[in-house]
Amino acid sequence: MKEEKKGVKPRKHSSPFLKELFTTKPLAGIGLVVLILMVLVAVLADVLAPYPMVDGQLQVDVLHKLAKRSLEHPLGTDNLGRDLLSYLIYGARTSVILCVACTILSTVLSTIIGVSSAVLGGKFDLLVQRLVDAWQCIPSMLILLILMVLLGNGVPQLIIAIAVPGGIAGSRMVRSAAMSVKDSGYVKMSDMLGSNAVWKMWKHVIPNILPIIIINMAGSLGGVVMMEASLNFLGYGVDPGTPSWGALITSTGRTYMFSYPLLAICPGVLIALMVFASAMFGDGVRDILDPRLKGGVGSYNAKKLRKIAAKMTAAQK
Amino acid sequence: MSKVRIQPRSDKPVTTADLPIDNKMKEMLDQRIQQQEPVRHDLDQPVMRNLPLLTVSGLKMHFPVRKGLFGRQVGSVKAVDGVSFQIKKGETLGIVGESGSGKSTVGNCIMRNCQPTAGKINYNGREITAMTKAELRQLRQELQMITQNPYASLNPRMTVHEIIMEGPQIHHTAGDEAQQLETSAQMLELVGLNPSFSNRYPHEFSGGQRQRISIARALAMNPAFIVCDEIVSALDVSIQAQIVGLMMKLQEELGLTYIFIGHDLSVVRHLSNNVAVMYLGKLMELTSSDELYEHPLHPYTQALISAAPIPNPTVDRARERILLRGDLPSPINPPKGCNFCTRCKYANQRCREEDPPFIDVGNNHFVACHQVKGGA
Repeated sequence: MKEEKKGVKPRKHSSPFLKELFTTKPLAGIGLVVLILMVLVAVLADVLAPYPMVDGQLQVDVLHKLAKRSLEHPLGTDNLGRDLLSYLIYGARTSVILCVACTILSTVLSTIIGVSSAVLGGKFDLLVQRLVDAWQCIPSMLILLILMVLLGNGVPQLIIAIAVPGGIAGSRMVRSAAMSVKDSGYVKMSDMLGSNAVWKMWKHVIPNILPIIIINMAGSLGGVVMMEASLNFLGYGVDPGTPSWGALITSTGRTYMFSYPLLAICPGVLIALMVFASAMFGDGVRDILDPRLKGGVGSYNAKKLRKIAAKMTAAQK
Repeated sequence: MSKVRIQPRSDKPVTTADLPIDNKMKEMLDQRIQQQEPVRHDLDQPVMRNLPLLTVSGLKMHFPVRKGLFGRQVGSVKAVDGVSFQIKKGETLGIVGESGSGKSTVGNCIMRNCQPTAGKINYNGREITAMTKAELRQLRQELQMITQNPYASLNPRMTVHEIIMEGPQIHHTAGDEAQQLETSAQMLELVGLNPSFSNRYPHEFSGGQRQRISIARALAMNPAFIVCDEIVSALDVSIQAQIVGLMMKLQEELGLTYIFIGHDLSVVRHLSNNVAVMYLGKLMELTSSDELYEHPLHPYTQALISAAPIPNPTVDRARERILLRGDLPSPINPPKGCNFCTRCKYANQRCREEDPPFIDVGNNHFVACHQVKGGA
């Protein structure tokens, strides 16, 4: 029972929220740990990798290309003789950061577009929705390529190029969910209390479509990795030579899949792990933020309330 | 209880000039007004009570019916078609009628949830129909509404405290956190809920409790006027009684003015000083509640009252039942003449051709029917 009270105002009490996450949703807790580990690995790549980068490049050692597992190279080497473990660790830098950033950015974007379109309605809604329609008519890969050409190669550019189209595409789902919440009784009542559009969006619409946003977010994560990989394949991703999990799967991994399966399996497992971890984490967060999914009485400000109640009964006597 | 509750033209033509009354009738009414004694009151402040708080005149709400590729308007649903009434401070006007008679639309027009097609709504000297959005927002502090469905009207992700304090927070009148907690606890106390409930979520409550929370939310704005739109229809009978009792208690304590929209005649009678009967967007009868239930003049009112159950089997069996046949005619294409003529057993040729005027037949009893024009 003690943990449940924390969910009442999760934004204000972050540590109890985490405690609840681990106690009531252990899988979600594991997911969070995995994600944090991956980010840590990405940040500390220079320290962790057995063969650190020199001048922003992994050392190429053609003499030892496609080496088997050994003490020197725990996972072997790729077709250019780069240490696979180091490659994967540095790859986390591109892949994890890219994924997390893209997903967050595209979710925020789709929430802003979808919710404002639904709540403001009328001509604004019509205009925004036709723009989204027009955008969706153009093949997504074409848009990605155009954006990459305009922005140039690099991780920040890639984040924008993947997040913006993703956000626009995701806005439709958010809009349709927001429409149903917008017509509900409590939003109308809020209107009658004199609220404005921002209040309605922030207090009513967004909290109630949060489950959909979170599921959308967790689902799009895996897509981002593969999107980055296919852009890489076309030569528009990160700078050539920058390690990334997607690039490893689509190029080297696929070529040597049967002779050197580790080259495909390792990045594949890591991507799957990341997607699974984020899905579990998202699920847990959604459940914890939904007051209907937990029983019991909260005790938010219970002491103060009891005092007030006692005062009132005293006053009556 | 004084029977003379409504003053049809206290300041200007509300129920007379805007309505199709011939000059002769107007003269008659004028005489009656001059002869009339001052209105009697049961409250200590007769002057306050005498003031009309809300004046609705000639209210029309027509919703366009669009068809085809370019949204050509092919007609309109005449949800409310010329309704006029007045409510004095501290009183309750009940509005009854069957489904689709436009009673909720009247409430929504008063709240300006929909912009009326025609007519005026004057609240305390201010014209609601002409208000800007900013003015409306201010008005929300005085004018509140409670709706039918207590399950849909509470945000499932807000605690009761947050729900109750939403209005004051919007208007920045809530104060700091301690004050807010105190206010919400007071509101809960006022509506008969335990103040310690304020950190719970709506799904933890029953329908009646939720309706109390809705009432607390409206009260937190400190309103003077509340539109109660079928607030007890979704509740079971014992809870209905509780809520009705609560509304009456609140009216007494806080001097509130209500419009009580409902289709349960006994509940409306219990609460209301005056009752208006609506049918197909028009007022059929309007008088004090005792007068209406004891001497219903309009055939439709008679049918409604005869359909309401009486909790005494002997009386119930002995009385005559008036059965209404058929359905409500379409509000897109209402019948010519009297709206009720298609289902009225007294209807004659005149009823089918001529729209009956809404007139006072004595004792501040207003009826729109050709058959009772002679007076009661």
